[in-house]
Amino acid sequence: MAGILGYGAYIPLYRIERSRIAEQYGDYAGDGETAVPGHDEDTTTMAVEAATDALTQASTDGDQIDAVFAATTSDPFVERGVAAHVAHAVGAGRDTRVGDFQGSARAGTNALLAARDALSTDADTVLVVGSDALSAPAGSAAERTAGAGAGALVFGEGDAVAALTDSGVATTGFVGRFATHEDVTDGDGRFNRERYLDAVEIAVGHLGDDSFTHAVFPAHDGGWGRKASDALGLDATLVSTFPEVGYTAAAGVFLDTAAALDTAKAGESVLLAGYGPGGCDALRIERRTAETPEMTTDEYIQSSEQLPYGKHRQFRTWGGN
Amino acid sequence: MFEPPYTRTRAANERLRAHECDACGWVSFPEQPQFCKRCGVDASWSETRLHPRGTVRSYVVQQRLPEEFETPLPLAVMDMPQEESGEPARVYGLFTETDPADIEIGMEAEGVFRRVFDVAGLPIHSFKFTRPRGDRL
Amino acid sequence: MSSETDVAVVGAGMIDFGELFEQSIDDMLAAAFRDCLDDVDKGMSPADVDAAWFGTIDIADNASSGLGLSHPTGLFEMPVTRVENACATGSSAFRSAVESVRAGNTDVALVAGAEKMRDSAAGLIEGAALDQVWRGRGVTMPAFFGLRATRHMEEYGTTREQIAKISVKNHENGAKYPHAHYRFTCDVDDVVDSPQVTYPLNLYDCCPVTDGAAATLVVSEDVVDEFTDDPIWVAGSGLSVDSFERGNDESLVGFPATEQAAGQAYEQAGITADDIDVAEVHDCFTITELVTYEDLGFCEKGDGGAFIDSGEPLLDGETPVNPSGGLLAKGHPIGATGVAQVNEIYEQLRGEAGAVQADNDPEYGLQHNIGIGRNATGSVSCVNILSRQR
Ligand SMILES: [Zn+2]
Repeated sequence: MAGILGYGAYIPLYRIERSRIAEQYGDYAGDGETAVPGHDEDTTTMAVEAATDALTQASTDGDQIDAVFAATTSDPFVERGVAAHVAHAVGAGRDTRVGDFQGSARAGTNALLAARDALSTDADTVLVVGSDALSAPAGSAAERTAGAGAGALVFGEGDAVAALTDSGVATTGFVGRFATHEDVTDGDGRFNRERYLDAVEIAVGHLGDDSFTHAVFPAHDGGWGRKASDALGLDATLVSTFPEVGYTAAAGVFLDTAAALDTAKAGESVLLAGYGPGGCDALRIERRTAETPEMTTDEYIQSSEQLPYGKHRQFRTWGGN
Repeated sequence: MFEPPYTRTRAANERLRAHECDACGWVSFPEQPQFCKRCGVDASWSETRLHPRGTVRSYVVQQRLPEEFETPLPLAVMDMPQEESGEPARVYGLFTETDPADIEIGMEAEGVFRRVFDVAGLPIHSFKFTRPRGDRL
Repeated sequence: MSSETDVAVVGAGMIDFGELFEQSIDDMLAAAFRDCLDDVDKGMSPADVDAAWFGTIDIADNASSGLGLSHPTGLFEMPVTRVENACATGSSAFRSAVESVRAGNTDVALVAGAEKMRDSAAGLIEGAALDQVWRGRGVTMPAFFGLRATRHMEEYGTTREQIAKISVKNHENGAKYPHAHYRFTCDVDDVVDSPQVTYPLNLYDCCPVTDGAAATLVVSEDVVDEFTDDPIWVAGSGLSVDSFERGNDESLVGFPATEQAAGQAYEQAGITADDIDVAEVHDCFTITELVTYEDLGFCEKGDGGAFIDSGEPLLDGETPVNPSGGLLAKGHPIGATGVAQVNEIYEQLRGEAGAVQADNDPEYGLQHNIGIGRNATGSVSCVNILSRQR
C-alpha cells in the first residue's frame, strides 16, 4: 500500500478538431479533439505544471521530495533525461534520486510501481510524472490523435487522498504499435487488439480484488477501453481523456487516472491498466477522500482554444513535437 | 543549461530564487546579490522565492520580432510578490497564449513554466505569463 | 570653480542624414570633420586639434577604438578616445571633451560621432536580446519606450492624439531642416493610422533607421579668440544612469535618469528649466519626447500631453523643442545624434538656424539624450546646456 498525497493534471490550452485535420487530406472525419502543445511547451514544461498542481494538493515542498520518476514516450532527446529537470524545477534537493521511464506507454505504470517500491526502501516522498507531446507526420493517421498532456502523483506518508493498494503484471513481449522519432507504425489493428485484451486480462487477473467503481484503459485506440471492460466483465464507470485530448501514451496513464480520481468518491476504487509495447500493468487505486486539485482534469479540458490546421503544425514543429 | 551563464542563473530561472536586501528590503531578481541597486550598500542578502503570479504595471504588444517569437507578443513590466512577505520584484514578463485585448494594467497574470529559448538545441526553461487558466473556463 | 577653464563651442559640422548606402563610416566622418573645420569663423586646421573624442556604438562593426576616428581624419599622435554610452553616446562624447577642456588638459578638442545604421538590415529588431532570461529578451526599442506610453495614458489620461502631435510637430520642423532624413509633413490621423509597430506606438511614432555623422569643435577660453569672436559657451552638463528594476514607480512613466542629469546641468549652469529657450531632446519615439518635457522640468509630471497641446514646444512657441525635426524626422544615427543636437543648439544660439530658427532670440539652449542599456533594463541620460553668455 502506498499513500497518494496529491495528484494533478495538465492539458495544453490549444486543441484541434480531428475532423479539421482529416479534411486537410480528404480523409474520414472522426469525432473528438486533440490537445496541441503551445510552441513553448515540451515534455518537461508540461510535467512541471502537473507536478506543481500535485505538490500543492499534497502540501509538499520540493525539498521534501526523495525521488522523482518521469515517464514519457516523446522525449526528443536520446541523452538528456526528463526526471532530473523536473526535479530541479520543483525545487527538489541535490540528494533526490531520479528515474526516467521511457520506450513504452507502459512506462507510466512502470514509474508508479517503482515509486511504490521506493517507498518501501529508501524514500518517504516520491513525485511521479508522466508527460507526452506526441509527434506524427503531417497527413498520417496518427496525426489526428497525437495528443499532449501530463499528470503527476505525489506518494508519501500523511493524509492520503488515495492509495495504490495492489498491482498485477503481464509482460508478454508483444509490440503492436511502435514509433521512432520520425514515424508511427500501427500494424494490424484487430490482431493488436486481441493481444492487448489478452495482456490486460492476465494483469488484472493478478489483482486480489476485482471490484471497481471506475476503470481507465489508456490506449491509442479510443475503442479498446470498452472492449477491455467487457472482456473483464466490469461494472465500472469508464473514464478516458482520449475524446478531448487524444492519445497521450505514458502521460495518458496519469491523465486518465486523475480524471477518474476527480469523480471517484471516498471509498471508491479505480482500475488502471497501463499498456504499451511489452505488456500491461494493472493497478488498483482506492480513493480516501473526495478532495480534488485546484484545477481538475475536466477544467483543463474545458479551458481551451481552437487552432487552425496550419498553426497546429507550426506549434508541433516549433516545440520539437 | 550546459553553458556557464545559464547554469549560474538556473535557480532564478526555474525556481524564481531571489534575494532580499537586509538593509532596505529591495528584491534582487534576476540579478546577483552584490551591492544593492537601490540603497547602494554592499549588502547582506536573504534568499527568498518569488510567487509566480504577478501584477501588470504596464504593457505593450509587439508586432515585429524575429521569427522565433510568436507575434503579436504582449510584454509587460510585472511586479512579482515574494512567496512569504516583503516587497515585490519588478521584472519584464513575456506573455504567452494571451489575446492582447485581455491585458490591462493592474491585472494579475499567472507565471507558467515554459521553454524560453534553446541553446544549441537544449531548452532553457523559465516562466512566461498568461491570463490565468482558471479564468478561461 | 575659479580654477576651471570656461569652454566654448566654435564650430559645428554635419552631413545630410539619410540612407547613405554609398558612404562608408570613414566617408561620413571625414565629411563631417571637413564641414566642421570650414564652419569655424576664423578658420581651423587639423593641426590645431589637441585631442579628440569619438562617439559610436559601432553598430556595423567598423571601429573598435579611437583609431576609427584617426583614420578618416588623419588625427594621429594625440589622445583619441572612443565613447560608447547607448543612445547618449554622442552627448557623452561631447561631455567628455568639455570636461577635459574645463580641467585645463586640452585647448582644442574635436568631438565626432557617427553611425552606419543601414549597413546591417536588422535595425530596431536587433535590440531584442535573444539569449537572456528575465533581462530584456524580446524587448525591442519601441517596446521599452511604449511601456511608458501605456502607463502614462492610464495614469495621467494622456491621449493617443497628444502623443501623435509630437510626430506632427517634429515632421513639420524636419520638412524645413536641410540635414533631415525625412522631409515630409503629416497630421494626427496619419500617425494614428500608420501601421502598428508595438502597441501603443505606430510607425510614425518611431524614428527612422538613418546613417549620419556630425562633428563639433570645443576650445578653452585661453584660445577662443584665435577661432571666433562669437563663441557659444558650455554652461552646464549632466549625466546619470538608472534602472526600472530598482522599483521606482517614476520609471514606469518617465526616466529618472533624465531628471538627475538635468538637475546636474541646471545646477552647474546656475539656471532652472524656465531659463531654457530652445531644446533638442531625444525623441526616438513620440512618447520619449512627451515624458522628457516632464523629466526636464518644462512642465509638471503628468502634464506632457497638456504641454504639447499648449503649443509651447512648437517652432513659434515659447520654448521650441526639436526645431531640427528631432530624431523622428532627422534620423537617429546613434553616435552622431547627440553631437548633431549640440550643433543645432549652437546654430540656434548664434541665430544661424535658417528656416528653423527659433524666433525668441534664445539665450540658453539644452541638448538631451536618453539611451537604454543592459538588455533594456537601464537608462542613461546626458544633458548639455549651451549659452550665449560666458
Ligand atoms: Zn538595499
